[in-house]
Amino acid sequence: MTHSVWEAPETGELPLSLTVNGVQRHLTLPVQASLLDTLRERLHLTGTKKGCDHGQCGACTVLVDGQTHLSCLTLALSCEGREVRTVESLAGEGGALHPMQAAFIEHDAFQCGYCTPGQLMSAVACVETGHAGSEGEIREFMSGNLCRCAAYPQIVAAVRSVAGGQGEQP
Amino acid sequence: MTTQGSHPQKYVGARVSRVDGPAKVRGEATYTAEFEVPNLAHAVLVSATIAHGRIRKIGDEAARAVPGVLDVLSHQTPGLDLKDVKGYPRGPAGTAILPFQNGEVLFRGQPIAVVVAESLEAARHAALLLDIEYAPDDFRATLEEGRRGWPFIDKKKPRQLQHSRGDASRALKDAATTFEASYDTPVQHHNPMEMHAVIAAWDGEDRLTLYEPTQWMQSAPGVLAQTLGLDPDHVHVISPFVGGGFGNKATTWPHLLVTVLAARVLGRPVKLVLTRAQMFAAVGYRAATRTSYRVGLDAGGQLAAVDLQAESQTGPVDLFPEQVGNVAKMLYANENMDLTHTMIRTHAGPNIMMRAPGEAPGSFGLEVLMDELAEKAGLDPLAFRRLNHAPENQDPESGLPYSSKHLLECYERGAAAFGWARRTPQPGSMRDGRTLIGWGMATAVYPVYTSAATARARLCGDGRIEIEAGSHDIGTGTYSILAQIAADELGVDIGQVGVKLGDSRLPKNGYSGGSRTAGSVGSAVQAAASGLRQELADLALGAPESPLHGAAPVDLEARDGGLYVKGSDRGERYTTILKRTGRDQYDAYRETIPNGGSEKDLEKLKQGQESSVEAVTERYARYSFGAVFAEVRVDPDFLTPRVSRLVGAFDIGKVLNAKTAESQLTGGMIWGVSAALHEVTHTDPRTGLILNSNLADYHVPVNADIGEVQAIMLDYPDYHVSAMGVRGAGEIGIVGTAAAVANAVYHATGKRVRETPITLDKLL
Repeated sequence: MTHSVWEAPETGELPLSLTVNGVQRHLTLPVQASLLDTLRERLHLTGTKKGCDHGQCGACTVLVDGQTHLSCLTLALSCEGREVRTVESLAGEGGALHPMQAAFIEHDAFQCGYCTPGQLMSAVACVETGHAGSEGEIREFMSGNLCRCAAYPQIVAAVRSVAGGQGEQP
Repeated sequence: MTTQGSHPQKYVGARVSRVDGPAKVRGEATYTAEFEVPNLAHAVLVSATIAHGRIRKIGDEAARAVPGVLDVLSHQTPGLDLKDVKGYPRGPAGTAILPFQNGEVLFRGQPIAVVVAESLEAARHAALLLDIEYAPDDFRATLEEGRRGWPFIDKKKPRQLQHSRGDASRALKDAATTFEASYDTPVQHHNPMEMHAVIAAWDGEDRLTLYEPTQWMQSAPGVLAQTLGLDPDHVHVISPFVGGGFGNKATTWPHLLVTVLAARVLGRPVKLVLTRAQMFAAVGYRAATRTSYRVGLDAGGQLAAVDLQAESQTGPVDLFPEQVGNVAKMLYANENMDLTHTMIRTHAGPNIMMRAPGEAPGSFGLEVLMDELAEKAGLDPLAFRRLNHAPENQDPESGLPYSSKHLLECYERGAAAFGWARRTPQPGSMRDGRTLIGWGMATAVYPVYTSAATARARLCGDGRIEIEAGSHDIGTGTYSILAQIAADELGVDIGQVGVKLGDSRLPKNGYSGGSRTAGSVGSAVQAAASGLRQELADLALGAPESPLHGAAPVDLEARDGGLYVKGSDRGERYTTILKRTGRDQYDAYRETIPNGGSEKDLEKLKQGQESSVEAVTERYARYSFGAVFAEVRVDPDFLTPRVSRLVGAFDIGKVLNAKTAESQLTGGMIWGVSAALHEVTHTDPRTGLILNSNLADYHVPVNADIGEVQAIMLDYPDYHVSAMGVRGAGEIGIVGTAAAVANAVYHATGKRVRETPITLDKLL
């Protein structure tokens, strides 16, 4: 840790370099900027949603170095040199939907769609980290993501279909 | 001139995936706060921290000193005058108390200042530095306190709603058995996942572009016409995606006016996003209610008399009745009824409709009452409801026949799917190991509301179809059902249909609330799409070069993107017909008036006013029905009820999309579980402020709280509603479910809880 943090009040801003969805970014940010606000307001990557700004709803879930993070509780400056992945990076070559995205559509695992990017990031992690062995396990893993439209049974069905199909299209 | 050509239904009624699904899963659906507007300034709203009183001063020196801060506005700022909103819609609703007009604070969380800065971070920091001094006054924060009376100014006396039929007091005296009980439901907040947000951008002094998530495109233009004297047609509202609404995005709230004023003062576009805590403040709530019943049964167990004294809380200025008595008025056969519903003022801000307003809390009381009465009569809860079933030819309230009622079939199919016959009546008699099992049920009902509607169908030069309607998809599936209807009417692949919603310049439509959009706007789109087909057919039949020239209109069918004589290849594609006209595109615009409505409803709609045709018309009582069955599992030591299984059977008219309608119903049922076990807004009696204004302390179900949920749809079209026979699916799922869960908790534990949510402190 350098002493630059303590010099910050002069301008209140500091430089940051990180990788977002494979693209190297160099920014100058207010020290208190969250990763979520940085993605949405400065990088115009608005797929990641703000539902509470307090780490209570999961709508802002992203991957930082492969781990799920609540981007609203993550200071952007703490991501120096890290790799951030958002919902915009899920689709593959040529825009083909990720199997989880296709499963969410097939099983109607959303209504208003606002919590969906966060649900998808958690759902991908649920399968990849081996927590999709049963409906109960999926429900538990996915319980950090609120869905006020209450598409919970459909979300479980979508995650199960991907886990059961070894990542094939449902 | 019309053609009778057939149009086989390929998409309507099927399980069609949401057409807006790809945009939503890619993160490409643009919600309000995500529109890129050049030179945008960021605003942060400041809310009152007292329930009632006056602002002595707002000191803003420290806030203004924060680098990047552009301005601080409040009632101390000159030139922010707004004219009162009158009679629009159903009273001023969200704008009953206008922002920044004086230093008076009339409710907790009232918007009192706004900080605007170059960045969100600077605005948020500066907002914390405002030095606000209050002169607090006495207040009534809750329904309970409101009963002590309202010693404050009241320009609009709380009114009473009344209904009376037969002679309830005599029938109560003559009844074989009588029963009394009161039921309480608390304040709840909508909390859609997307917080309210506004981007306001002025173009000169009298034209405005507004991005806002709304269930009613025409609300903000109407409010701005009254408050600022703008021409409503000069207010362009853009709202293609709405991250949930549930009622609180169906009116205009003070923060929208604040944003508009800030953008005017600064001379640049301003964006304001509420915080989650502010979602518990000035954007409405479901009022707390109490229903107190005195009921008489005859010797056979039939309802002989119902006396219902109902109360609901309302705000300090406006009056919005949470019509908690409506369900009891009509759901069961009963000739003698007295209902008095009193509204009680509180300093809790304006209340507003929230998913099944009235019916949701009202059915909790009524359906727990029915469970208690069944026990008293020594009958199975389902048998008791069948005994008191109101016949199809007589709505007990109006005396009219129902338009279409299949409640008995809902009972039958729901009970069969659930396995209700295996229920043993004694509380605590069903167990799985040590775990207590409870089975409960309830009836669901929701009125059919419709509106006049308008839509445009367009054939484009490349053969694509565009549908335009100034309506909304708040997660309800509007984009999808309109695409399905148009694809079927025109015989095209659904991928060829583009639906445009959420823009106030599109053909005008009413608000999306009361489960009305599918039936109402669907009818207008059907009319526009079939109108387009017929006009194109007329063009082809009249053109000597067309292979269809001289064919009989009745022999035509729409398929493969064109018109063909049935069972033959004789015909042509729409694009060929269009090319012959020499036009780039061809439009058909249609207006529809629902059954029971009039030209007046259409005129009101086109003027941007509320247009609603009520459930009971001159000839029919029009309701959707359902039966909900719930299984709860209760740990005998920890008394924590969990809903392991829910089955609902619903008679909701024609189902347009089996996939999305089912999701609406299961979502509604889970809202019922939430009401039964989780959801409550707690108010601090000492301060009048909300104690749990965040999503950790305001409990809504998470995935692990929900077990199996099954929704069965009967799919009987109701042609007394519209030619499509659609009644809507958005709200009925929540109705009755809370009571079914509460009755299951009683069956498991033997403990009757007459207040939601049923938390473990009430089971101890």
